[in-house]
Amino acid sequence: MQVRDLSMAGAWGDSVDVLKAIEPSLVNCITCGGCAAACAASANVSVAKAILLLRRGLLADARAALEGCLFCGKCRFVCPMGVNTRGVIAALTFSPDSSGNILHQ
Amino acid sequence: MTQPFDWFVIPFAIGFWSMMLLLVVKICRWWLGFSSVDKKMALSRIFSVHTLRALVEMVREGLLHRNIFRVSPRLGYMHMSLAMGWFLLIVVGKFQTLAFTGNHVNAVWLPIFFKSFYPGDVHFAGSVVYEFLMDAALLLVLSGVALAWYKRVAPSALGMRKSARHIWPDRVALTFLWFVFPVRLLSEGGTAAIHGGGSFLTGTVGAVLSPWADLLAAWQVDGALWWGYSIVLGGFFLMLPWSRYMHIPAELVLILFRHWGVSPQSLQPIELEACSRCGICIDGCAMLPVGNDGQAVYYVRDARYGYVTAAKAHDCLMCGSCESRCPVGLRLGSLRLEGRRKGASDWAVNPVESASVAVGANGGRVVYFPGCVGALTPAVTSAMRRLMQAAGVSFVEMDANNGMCCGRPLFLSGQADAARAQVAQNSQLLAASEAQVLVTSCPVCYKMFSQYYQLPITVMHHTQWLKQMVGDGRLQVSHSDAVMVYHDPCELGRGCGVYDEPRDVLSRMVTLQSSSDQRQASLCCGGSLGGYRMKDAGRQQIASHAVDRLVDARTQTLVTACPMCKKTLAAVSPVKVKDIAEVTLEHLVLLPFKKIPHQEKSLLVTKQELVGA
Amino acid sequence: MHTKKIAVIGAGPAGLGAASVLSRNGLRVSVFHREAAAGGHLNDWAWLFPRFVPARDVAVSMAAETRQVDFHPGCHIAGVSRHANGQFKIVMPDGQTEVADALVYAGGFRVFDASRKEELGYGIYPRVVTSADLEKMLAGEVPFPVELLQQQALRIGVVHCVGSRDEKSGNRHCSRMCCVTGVKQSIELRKRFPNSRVTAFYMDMRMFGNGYEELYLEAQRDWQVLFVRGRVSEVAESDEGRLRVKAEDTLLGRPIRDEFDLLVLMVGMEADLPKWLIEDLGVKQIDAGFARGNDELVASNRTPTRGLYLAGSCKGPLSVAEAWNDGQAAAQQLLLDLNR
Ligand SMILES: Cc1cc2nc3c(=O)[nH]c(=O)nc-3n(C[C@H](O)[C@H](O)[C@H](O)COP(=O)(O)OP(=O)(O)OC[C@H]3O[C@@H](n4cnc5c(N)ncnc54)[C@H](O)[C@@H]3O)c2cc1C
Ligand code: SF4
Ligand code: SF4
Ligand code: SF4
Ligand code: SF4
Ligand code: SF4
Repeated sequence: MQVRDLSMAGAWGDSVDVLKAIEPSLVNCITCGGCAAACAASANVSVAKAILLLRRGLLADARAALEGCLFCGKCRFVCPMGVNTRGVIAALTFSPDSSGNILHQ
Repeated sequence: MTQPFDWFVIPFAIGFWSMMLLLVVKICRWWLGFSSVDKKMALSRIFSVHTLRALVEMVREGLLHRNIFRVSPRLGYMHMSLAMGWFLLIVVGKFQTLAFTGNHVNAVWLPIFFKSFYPGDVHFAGSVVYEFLMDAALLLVLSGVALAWYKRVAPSALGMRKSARHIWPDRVALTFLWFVFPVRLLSEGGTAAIHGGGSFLTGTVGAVLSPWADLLAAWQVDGALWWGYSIVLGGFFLMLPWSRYMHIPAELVLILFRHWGVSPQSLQPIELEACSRCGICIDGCAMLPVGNDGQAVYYVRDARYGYVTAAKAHDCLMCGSCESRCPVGLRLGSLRLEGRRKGASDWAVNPVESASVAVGANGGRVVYFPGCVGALTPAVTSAMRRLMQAAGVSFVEMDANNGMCCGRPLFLSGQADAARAQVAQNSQLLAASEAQVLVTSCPVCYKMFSQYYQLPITVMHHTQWLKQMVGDGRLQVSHSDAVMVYHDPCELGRGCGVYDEPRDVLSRMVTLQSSSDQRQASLCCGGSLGGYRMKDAGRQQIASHAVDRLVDARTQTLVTACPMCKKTLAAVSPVKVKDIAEVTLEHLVLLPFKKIPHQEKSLLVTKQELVGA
Repeated sequence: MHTKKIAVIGAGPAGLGAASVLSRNGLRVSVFHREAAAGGHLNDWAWLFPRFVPARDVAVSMAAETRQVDFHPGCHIAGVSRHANGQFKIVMPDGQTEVADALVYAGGFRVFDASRKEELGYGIYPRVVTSADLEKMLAGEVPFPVELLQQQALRIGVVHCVGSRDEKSGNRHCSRMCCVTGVKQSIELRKRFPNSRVTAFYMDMRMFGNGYEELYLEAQRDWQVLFVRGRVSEVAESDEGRLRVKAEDTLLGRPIRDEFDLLVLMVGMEADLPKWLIEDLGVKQIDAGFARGNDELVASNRTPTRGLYLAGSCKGPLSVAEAWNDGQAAAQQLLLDLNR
């Protein structure tokens, strides 16, 4: 396992700030794991982990933590902190830029 | 006879011909975009009864606007008077020039500026009648214009809560349109003042202005007015293809191609241009309590101009209310999905790994699937289990370990491929089971399983199953004096047309209140999976709004039939929120233990039986 | 000697604390209390953390601290108004009224109704109980489910933060007491069922008081209670009536699927302010719905309404000792103001 320091210059700003602008509720997460427990997809999918990884600036790992998500929204119904989990998932995986025109992509 | 000409017709002519050119180009492009199957189909129907039917509908919707009359008679009148009046001006004007010149083909501007070229009392066969009809048509249009002005100030006067917000090409075109007919009235009136003539309307205006006839003539005011008329009319035509008024030709073309059997997919580009931005969809929109900019009208507008942001595509709960209200019959859900689909990147779903489903483990004929969110509403699922037992139905629970999704959430977010993979996998699992009936508690799953899967088995929502069990007497229920109101889940009601079954079952047990926001007009609870962007606060606002409209002082319980509606409504409701299955369980008459004869046959209904029921 | 008359509403720890100080300072004190016996929620609990003192004994000794008071048991106050002369008019259930020169409100809190969290199965599965229910069982007022007593190796789950720190229940605040209650009850369960294994699911452990951290250690060291950091998302029932729990072990990042014979929900403390307090007497509320004193530091018992004081857990979750002290503090502030 790799040892990392937590200064991560730039990483925080690059990923979290952009994603925070798209889905502000992600900062509410307290990593309680309720979402992961409820997840309908598989044992490996975890919004909690994705948000935590994101906070550490590990964008690619965060995306990987959502691989297999069915977008069913069950996690949102259980989240005690009002995190719009589907918004987080979408922001991380398929709409990184909320201002861009998607028809012309 | 040589065609008369004056320089003032130029602005009109430019506008008119540029519009015609663009229309031809657009229609050709639409045609070229059709699939070859669609093209063949359309060609084969040109000389058929379908064309006649299309013409009837064009008159009914393009001119009379019957559907808008249904929304609000005053609004209907406004649209009808504008369309019908203008149409009559064109037709009567055509015949007027024909009668006067004797030519079938005249310069396009001749009928329009007729009174300018031939002022005063010009006599020819039927001239008085034509003048009268032209004035009558003008009056009709003007009454519509007056209403349109009024609607901008006070939308509610025309039966609308909110008016659509417009963009600049619309505003320019709208301004031209507002002035076209008043200016025409003034031009004709001015001319009549100087030269005489005109019927009851233009003649009267002429008579009123006649004391200043010399002045008008000296300053050539009539000429200036005709210039003005030409400019506003030409301006309007110039703007038409770029603005909302493109809907006039597009709607007619759409009606025609629909009758000619062109597939919905091919019709989408026409649909985008056939929206009149009438704003009727706004009033029923679930998101209205939260804001007025994600509604169907704005999405369709942006999609038409080729600029859809992720926000626009996804700011919608897919509740279907707009679609059920749209007078043009646009398939707004599909249009929105198309935007989502185009904007979506590849989804990382890996369906084979994602499910751990146990079906038919003990050979059950009936499979019960609570839906994934059903795991969060155990009151509903345990009620269903007990009802199944009470009805003597041997069933097996699908996905007891919770790892299955019907695929609809992926589908609704534009992830078509991932959704398809999900569908294929679930279909396999179901096929491998011995299931013959699938009962689900989730309307989202029900819509998906019944409309998007090709399953060789009967799919039922639990409201339908309950209706059948209660109807057959396999579940006996009592009537209490409880007063309840029913909330139609979007996907069950507008999505699948299941309105009567729950009401039938409930009215056997309780006093069921009716509400103005039921059935087609049901309000989305806000917890829909259709859009992921709605914030919690917004959801709550939407839910509170729906609850306020449904619950009154007498209501004791708010009943629904969807786990998501239940959770969302319960968070804000002042009265208890229950699922219809819970209510049924509470009213179940438990017969002294008697083994119910095993008649699984009555469960194996066919789709037709269901629809017929 | 004062001739002023003071009304105290609620005879829980806080109300009794206020009444004891006021009565010992020679004021005429009337105490209005909804239940028959003084003690408030103390009468609902078995033993108190951190030292397992019987809650009833504490209630009795608190009541014994008061001197001459006019006690109105079974008297639910449904309305209080304030006269222009600054006096309070208190309406009793029988329609009679009493007038007081000052008022201490010590109406306490309400236990969260766990059936509002449907996914945890309370009210649906008989073996899901709340911490409040468990206190009654431990006190012997309500029997434990028979099956539990017969079972050899019991598996018991404790679920923290039920109805607290949860936007879905409308309560964002932490109830403070339930973490240590969970620890207390885990130990009591282990004592009661020596063959049991207890697993507690928590989001964060909040051991703020003297002796709490030690209790937490004791639970793990002496009673083998297993603490797992992760929120329980849903509960289902197996064919045998056992409770299937889904949670995430967030420290390991692994999902948990486990079965229990009994599940105890640590229900939170919610605000329970009467309408008249807010509308007629002008008491302000904090976001969580509890009553707000003039500030949190030096005037937490005072209100903008002269002569009206707040005491105890009507202002937010407190322990018994804190509530008692807060009641006495409210009385002291009242006395200072009277003598001013
Ligand atoms: C499950 C659980 C276990 C707990 N265990 C412990 C423990 O072991 N140790 C510990 O220190 N703390 C414990 N607590 C916390 C403890 O219960 C509180 O600290 C304490 O009860 C607060 O006292 P209070 O006087 O502020 O309010 P309460 O105890 O709520 O008393 C208020 C009283 O006022 C009465 N009242 C309210 N309104 C009116 C009205 N309008 N008219 C008349 N009467 C009215 C109420 O009926 C009530 O009796 C526990 C809490 C819970 C939820
Ligand atoms: S349930 Fe909500 S707060 Fe808990 S880990 Fe998931 S996103 Fe974060
Ligand atoms: S939306 Fe994705 S992460 Fe959330 S529960 Fe469903 S599958 Fe799991
Ligand atoms: S979508 Fe339909 S209802 Fe909405 S503005 Fe367009 S035409 Fe009108
Ligand atoms: S589907 Fe519903 S939420 Fe979406 S635009 Fe139409 S009415 Fe509004
Ligand atoms: S005290 Fe513990 S259990 Fe109670 S709300 Fe706070 S963190 Fe949750």
